[in-house]
Amino acid sequence: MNLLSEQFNRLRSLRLNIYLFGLSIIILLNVFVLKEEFRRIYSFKKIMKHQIIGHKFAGLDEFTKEINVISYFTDQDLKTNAAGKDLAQAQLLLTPTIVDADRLDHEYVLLVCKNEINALRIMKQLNLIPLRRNQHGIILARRQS
Amino acid sequence: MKTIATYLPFIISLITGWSIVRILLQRSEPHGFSTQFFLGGGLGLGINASLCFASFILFGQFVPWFAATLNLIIFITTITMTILLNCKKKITFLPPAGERGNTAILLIALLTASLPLWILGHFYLHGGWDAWSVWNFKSRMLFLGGENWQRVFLPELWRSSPHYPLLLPLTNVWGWIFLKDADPIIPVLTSYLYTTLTIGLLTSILLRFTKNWWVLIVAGLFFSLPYYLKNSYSQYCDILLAFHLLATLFCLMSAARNGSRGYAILSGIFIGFVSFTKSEGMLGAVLLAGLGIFFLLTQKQDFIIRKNLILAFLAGLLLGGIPTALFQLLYSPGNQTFINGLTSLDKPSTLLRAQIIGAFYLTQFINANWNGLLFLLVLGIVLAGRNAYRRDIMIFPLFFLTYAGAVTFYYFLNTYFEITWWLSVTADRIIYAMIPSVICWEILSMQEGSLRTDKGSIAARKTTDARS
Repeated sequence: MNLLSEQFNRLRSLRLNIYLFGLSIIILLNVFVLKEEFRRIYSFKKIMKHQIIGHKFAGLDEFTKEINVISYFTDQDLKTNAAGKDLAQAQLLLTPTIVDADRLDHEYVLLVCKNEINALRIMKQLNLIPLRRNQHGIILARRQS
Repeated sequence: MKTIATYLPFIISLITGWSIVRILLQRSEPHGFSTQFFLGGGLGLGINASLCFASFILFGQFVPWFAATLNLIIFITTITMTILLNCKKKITFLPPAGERGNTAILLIALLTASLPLWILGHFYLHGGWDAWSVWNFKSRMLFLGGENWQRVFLPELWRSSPHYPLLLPLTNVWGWIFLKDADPIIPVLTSYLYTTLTIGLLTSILLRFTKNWWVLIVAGLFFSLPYYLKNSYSQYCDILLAFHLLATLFCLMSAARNGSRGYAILSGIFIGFVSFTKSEGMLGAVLLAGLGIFFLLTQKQDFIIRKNLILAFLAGLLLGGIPTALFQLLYSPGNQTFINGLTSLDKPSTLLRAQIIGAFYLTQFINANWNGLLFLLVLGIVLAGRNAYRRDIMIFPLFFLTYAGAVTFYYFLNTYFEITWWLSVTADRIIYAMIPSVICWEILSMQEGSLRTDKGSIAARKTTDARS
């Protein structure tokens, strides 16, 4: 009876060993992918210490921090990754100001246009005057009363 | 000085949580230091974040001195109680002599294995997309928004899921409490700490029940799987869900095995935190609350012990559920992204939608992100055999099956989002949050003999305690 019990326990242990062996194989596979990821990061690190986001909106928070809500206009399709990413980063960096991409009727409007002619056109259309323009062409404009 | 201010909140959380766990489990479990340490870490972070929430409720905005005072009172009280109990020799402040070596080895192994996450986390300082648009945005809004913090619930911000609960943002706010600005290093540390606590808790549970040091391979797996690391350093809320799910299931199992009211209280509190993470957590918490009562009720102990366990579980649930209840009552704008596909004529739930969901699940098995891990999890269920459905660990499969069913039905029911896109950005994160608990279940299932030994030594004393 004891022998049977011992064999049974060994079998259980064998099952765990098979399982842990399987995990070890996955770790080996992981190491190759992880190595590539670290190589990529170290190549990035030659030019920047860490990830930088929203550099397009740098400095604008100085002027928006007292504003509750600003409209956000872009000449890109917000469903695309690049435009969606810009909006998310603008929202993060300009917090606590709310960036509203659905409405253009707020007093202040942030214009994020690839083509500056589009920005000028929309400013004329919405009766806006530019307040700030940073080196990346992002314009903070205000509705004329 | 800034370094101290950066790390101090997390140190306070670890000590507060550890003290509370130690006090709650003093009668039922004088040993198991490492498991209690990791459990306590998550508990402390959850408690401190919830106490910060009190500031928003009472003052209508974040008042750092109030939140800090409240948290320090809890910290000093729990520490004092621990020291007093230590003097009465009811609990030990440090690990008992026999456990010190093992605890130190485990901690050193974990810290070493977590180096890749530390390096990656510090490089990806701002995390991933959802951290910008949801979690860190909300954290900053809560910290910087003053009396306007409630703007995070504006329907216009539907891209930021205004209905999501606030455990992660509040944890970040707690991290910033001694700093003057919303330093991006805090979300990095929150993610790192929760990931390490999750993997530490899992490894310490496995080590304790299997007595097999090879289970440290599990820690190696998580800290080397690139997709797991990515989800962790992206600073999303899913790692909080992963931790609190594992903690809940382990505490429920331990409550049942040891007849421990302390574990029953803890499981209830952790369910409260599960519900405060995100919508998927809310769904999981409802299931866990119901299944937890059923699980405790169907154990083989005396009726009086089961009754005491359920009462303790409900008390924990009540306590842990306070932040979610207040959030739902006072602030939640309701789900802005829900269309009932069963009643909608514009966007009905169709058979095609069900087929896409099924097909997506199958493709996850060949998804390179998991490096074959999902196949191994299936193999683990086969290897565990009937043992996986033993009464004392039944809570694991019960929860997995009902949760998977409920989540799948929700994908089918809610037709607001285009299903392929929705699955691609959320389903793998749910899998990510479940994997530590699944591995825990599978390995415990393969170790029936060791579990019995552990149960035998503790349960007999527990039963005596409960009766007394």
